[in-house]
Amino acid sequence: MNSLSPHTNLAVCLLLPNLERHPDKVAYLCAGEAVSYRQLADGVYRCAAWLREQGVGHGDRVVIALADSPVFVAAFLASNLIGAVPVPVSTALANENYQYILDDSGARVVLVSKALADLPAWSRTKSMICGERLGDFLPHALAVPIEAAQAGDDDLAYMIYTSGSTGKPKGVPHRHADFLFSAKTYADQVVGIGENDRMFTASKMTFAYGLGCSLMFTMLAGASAILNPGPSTPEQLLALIAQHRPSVFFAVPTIYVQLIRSVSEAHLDLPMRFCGSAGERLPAFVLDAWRELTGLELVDGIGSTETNYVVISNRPGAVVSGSAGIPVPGCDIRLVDDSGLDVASGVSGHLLVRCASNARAYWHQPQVSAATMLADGFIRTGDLMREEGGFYFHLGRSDDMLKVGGQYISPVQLEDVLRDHPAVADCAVVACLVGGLERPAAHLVLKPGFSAGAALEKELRAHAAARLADYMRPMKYAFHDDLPRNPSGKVQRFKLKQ
Amino acid sequence: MSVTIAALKELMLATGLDAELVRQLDPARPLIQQGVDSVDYPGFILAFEEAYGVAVSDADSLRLKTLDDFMNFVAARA
Repeated sequence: MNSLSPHTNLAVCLLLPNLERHPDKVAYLCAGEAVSYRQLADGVYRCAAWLREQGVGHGDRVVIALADSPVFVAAFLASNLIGAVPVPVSTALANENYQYILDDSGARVVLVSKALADLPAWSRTKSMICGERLGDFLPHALAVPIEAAQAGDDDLAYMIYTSGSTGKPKGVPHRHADFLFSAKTYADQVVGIGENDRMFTASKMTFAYGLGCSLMFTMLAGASAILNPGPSTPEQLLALIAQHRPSVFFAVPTIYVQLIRSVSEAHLDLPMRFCGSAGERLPAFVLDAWRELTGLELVDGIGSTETNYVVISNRPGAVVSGSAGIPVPGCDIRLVDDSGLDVASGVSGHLLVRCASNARAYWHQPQVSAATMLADGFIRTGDLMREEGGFYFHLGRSDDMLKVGGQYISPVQLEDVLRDHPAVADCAVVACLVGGLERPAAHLVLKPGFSAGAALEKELRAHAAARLADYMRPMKYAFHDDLPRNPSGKVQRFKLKQ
Repeated sequence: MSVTIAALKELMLATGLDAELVRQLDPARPLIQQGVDSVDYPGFILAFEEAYGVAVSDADSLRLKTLDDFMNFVAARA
């Protein structure tokens, strides 16, 4: 027996039905370990006990800097269970980013992957270094069922950081019911995730996309999932697919492009019943090439960390190539012009979304929150779209942010790095399309005495590679005498995009 | 214009790819299988277009998988 209650706590909603229905069913397959729902619950209880010993209580933030693994899931649910707020963060960040997130979130505790153990960021916060095997996680702690914390309508269940326009990440907190809405609408009604599914997602659980598929939708459906603690290389993904034969696979378009390019044969036989895509615009030619290679449909959709999950999606069996699809049930969609008035069908407009899973505010950012989370309940996503015949087509961003491989990039962050190079007097970073996908392009003005050329470009590439995450590295370097500016001196990035 | 595997490898080095990785590339195997990642690949395509004055369409960008493919792409347009 367990003492899980009440049912409004997200951890209870995820665990309890599975413990009652099929406690010995495998919930997770990861790096040679198969973890049943019962074993997962024991790991959750052990971690919850440890967190309480550290003084973690209701509303406290618990940063989870772990690779995808059953330990990640247990830490996340344990935090929920005691009313704390898990804050999953990527294991690929630089030390200063971890420090910023620890400070900004006011984390009480951080759980750290062994691979990150030596970073100085953890020195000022209570931390625990964790491996990936649940069987080795807190082996001496007692797995005693505990009473779940009450979860009210406004209580936070998790917070995910997303890139901000200034280069500093913003915390996006969500409540306990938010993923229940996304599971009921997108996972159940749109793509039909069920108990017999075996899920596999290339995106990590530190992103809302991966968190939804690998943790929330898997457990709410009583399904199983494959977790990959390593990098999502095509070789690794195809090996795990061959080994574990998932029924559903989710990834961002960049991953599908990589998979297509990695295969020499004309046909790739895969076990999935369908594949999902989100995180960045899916070009029609990628969808077509994937279907030609695998015979499988790519069901594309669009959402954001702020809306929690996908809010516009194609439907399996009825995919419209090049379109993000139609609204997910329960999601109100508006496309508006610059003055906030609805645009006519066929005209591009700013995407506004209202649904029950919308975040109500950014963490400690009232001004940005007011500009994004509007008083009427709609969220301004920053995407430009066009609607035709009820289907929505993504046209790009209405701000300066870039979306690369499913991750937002602020141009400011890249420009700061490039300006540190002794040859660079001024610069602007904008998106360019390479193979149909957005990639960063650097536009530079050089200081006197420096000349553009292959040698300098190579030096700039090395400079950026040493200071930026891989996906942020500019693909293209263009040299100018001056950058286009408006009368007040602001760089007109839209002119550089042309 | 003709192109050689050696010239393509030189181009890769100019875009900042690791010298040892480039040296070991098998021209007949997909580059992705040999460690050229999602960041290196588009950078190489852009450099390839500029160096050889060719346009790689979106669909072509998925068909150019090996160094041999890149070499044959230029040869077919000579």
